[in-house]
Amino acid sequence: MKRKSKVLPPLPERAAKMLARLKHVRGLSDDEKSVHALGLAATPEERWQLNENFIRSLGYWKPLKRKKSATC
Amino acid sequence: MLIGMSAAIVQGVMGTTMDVDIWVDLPPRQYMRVQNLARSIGCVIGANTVVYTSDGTPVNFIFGDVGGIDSFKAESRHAKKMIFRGKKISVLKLERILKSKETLRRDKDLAHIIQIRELLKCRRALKSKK
Repeated sequence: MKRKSKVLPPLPERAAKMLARLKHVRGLSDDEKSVHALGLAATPEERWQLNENFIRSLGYWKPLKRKKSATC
Repeated sequence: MLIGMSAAIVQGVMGTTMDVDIWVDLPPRQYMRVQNLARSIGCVIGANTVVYTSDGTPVNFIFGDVGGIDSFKAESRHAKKMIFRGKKISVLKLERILKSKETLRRDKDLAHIIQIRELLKCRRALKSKK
């Protein structure tokens, strides 16, 4: 039998809910908690995508240049 | 097995890293086997243990022991299976990544140690509230 895949709400909504759950954590400022809430709320794929988008926004990880063929 | 900061990121640490570290259960002298496999899927070889994927991602292969943690066999027993770039892959547990970074204590590890500790603190808080 096929399992129904769970549809997740958008990441910002999940992060906001997670941040509310982290409110009582001591020793971290709200801005630190907001970042960790995002990390905890995201799926592994979303987490890596956030990192990848950030790296690419800085101009790194550009596709490699194709090798020119010997005939050209 | 995925290790290092990329493994920490897929487990929720909000940091960044420029490369992907893959721990391979092979002796270092067999690096050519990994290189050949990487080449066959379109990677460009950068050094004996470094390749670049077609989208430019640097991938480091680590052979043998990793500082501060147990053998590959022992660590893989506790590794998590997670989706990374569309593939299910073994990922070193966050606590073990922290242990390794605390042992190595390279300059770049110091910020990572704080980020990992903070996330573990948040995770523990969530667990205790359940």
